[in-house]
Amino acid sequence: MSTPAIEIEDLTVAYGERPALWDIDLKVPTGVMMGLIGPNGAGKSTLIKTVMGLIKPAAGTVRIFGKPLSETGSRVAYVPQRSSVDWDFPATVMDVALMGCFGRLGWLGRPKSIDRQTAREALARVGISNLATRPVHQLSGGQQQRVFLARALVQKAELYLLDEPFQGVDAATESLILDLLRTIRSEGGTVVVVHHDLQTVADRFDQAALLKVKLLASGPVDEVMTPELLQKAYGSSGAGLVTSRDGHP
Amino acid sequence: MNPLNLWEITPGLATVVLGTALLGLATGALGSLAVLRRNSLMGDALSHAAYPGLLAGFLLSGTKSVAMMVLGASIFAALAQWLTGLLIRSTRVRPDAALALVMGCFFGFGMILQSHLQQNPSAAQAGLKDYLFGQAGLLLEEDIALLAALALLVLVALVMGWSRWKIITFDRAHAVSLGINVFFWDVLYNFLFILSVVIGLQVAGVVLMSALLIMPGCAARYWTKRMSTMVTLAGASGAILGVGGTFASDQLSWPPGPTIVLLGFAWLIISFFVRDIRKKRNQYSGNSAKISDALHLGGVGAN
Ligand SMILES: Nc1ncnc2c1ncn2[C@@H]1O[C@H](COP(=O)(O)OP(=O)(O)OP(=O)(O)O)[C@@H](O)[C@H]1O
Ligand SMILES: [Mg+2]
Repeated sequence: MSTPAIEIEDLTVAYGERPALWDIDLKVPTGVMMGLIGPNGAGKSTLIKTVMGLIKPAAGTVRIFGKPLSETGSRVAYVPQRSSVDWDFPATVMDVALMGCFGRLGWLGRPKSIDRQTAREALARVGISNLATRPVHQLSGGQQQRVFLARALVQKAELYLLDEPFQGVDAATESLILDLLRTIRSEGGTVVVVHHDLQTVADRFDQAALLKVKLLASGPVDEVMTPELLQKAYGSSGAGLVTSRDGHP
Repeated sequence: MNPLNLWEITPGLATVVLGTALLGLATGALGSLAVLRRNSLMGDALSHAAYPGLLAGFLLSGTKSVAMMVLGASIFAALAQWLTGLLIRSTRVRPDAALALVMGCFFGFGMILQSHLQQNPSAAQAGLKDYLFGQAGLLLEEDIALLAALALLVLVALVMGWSRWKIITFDRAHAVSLGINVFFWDVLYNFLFILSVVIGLQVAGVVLMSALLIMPGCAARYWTKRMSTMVTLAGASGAILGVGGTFASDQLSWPPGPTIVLLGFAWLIISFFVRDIRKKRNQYSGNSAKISDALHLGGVGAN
């Protein structure tokens, strides 16, 4: 078997005294699309940030493609929640997309024409070529999400971590994002998505990880999305959520 | 009559003009980063915090040695910055409150030091109080070298690390995720910021220093949608404000520091109005652009 894209061992993360993640062991195989689910405050964002090296764990190790975090460079693309940056910033859509290639640039480096070409292609793939020269403070939420995706594509990463990319976007943007992620997977990329909508987990992902401070389960979707496990994570309402999947679209 | 004769450009005036231009260039460019990072108040806090350090430098050296005073001021400013960070990280005090707290305490200490020093006649003669409100008129040729070095250092740092400054300012987490050494760039930024403030204190004084840092950046934000243009414009307008303000102060016999700041404020107001008018004029074309986006995307994501 090839090296897993992410390999987490005995990971504990705490903000101050209180643990947000407790003793997590998780393997994400290469080439899968995994949904990371769990109730509010379960530690999903914390897990993503720790894998990105944005938060230092209290204990445990994270390896990306078999290497420690400090050696992953720009192989991992992070698509944060839209609200994590101040969009009132003097840059155009093209400028932000180009930031994806900054990890490949040296100090004195400037984006080259090939990088611009890559950025134009990325904007086309997320359907906002026509906004390339638009200042980012004029974008709608869905457009901001697409800019972040374009930036991640420019990075040419092998592992994509997305924090609630479907939050607050309309149906068309949602299906565009989904198609894009599937294309990434079909090209050999690995995708991990923080997701909230239990009904759509089975359609969208081939693997799931269920989190509530501890990792309750991970693996193929149908093994994770069982009423017992969901009840454990969400309380009694959780089990109902998934059984109603067929009844209510 | 030759209009140039209006100004008697004495060597002394030329020195002040050059000095304020160099300082304006450095603080304008660097300050625009502070504006974007939303830590505009840092300049104010650091200049107030540097004041006791300046006095301590004087106290230790016994004379008005620029090197000792800049050193003392830098140490105090760095201490204030570290303390602010500590307060924010490990207490429930919010960033703006932390800045205000540290600024007040350090400046209070400075005032006590000053009243103590005032009893010493050599200190009174040295005009230490001038550092509160600036004394650009007293800039000497040897100060020019220091200001030129500062401006050069700021420009080189900005140009060399341009992609780094840009990405860290917009999305720090993304910069970290790309493996960029954010810590190094933060230290460099703080270092340059402290250096600008303590060197600028002589010219602008404790009270007006932050205006010099912030105003060019705030005004430049109105004129552009690109960060590179904004920083360039802020640096250039900082230099021009220095020159214009010094000449105006010479004509009006106003003190240079405050004149530069008032001129900067006028520039900010002009930027605001000109841009506002331009925006209103463009509103129709803007709307039609939005509609064409909407059609292009099949109505998607155009809000
Ligand atoms: N910066 C922080 N400081 C202190 N505690 C935090 C911080 N960020 C998160 N937490 C706590 O850590 C826990 C996990 O938070 P996290 O944001 O990872 O949850 P999440 O699963 O992403 O939730 P959501 O579904 O609401 O986004 C929560 O209990 C939260 O209160
Ligand atoms: Mg979250």
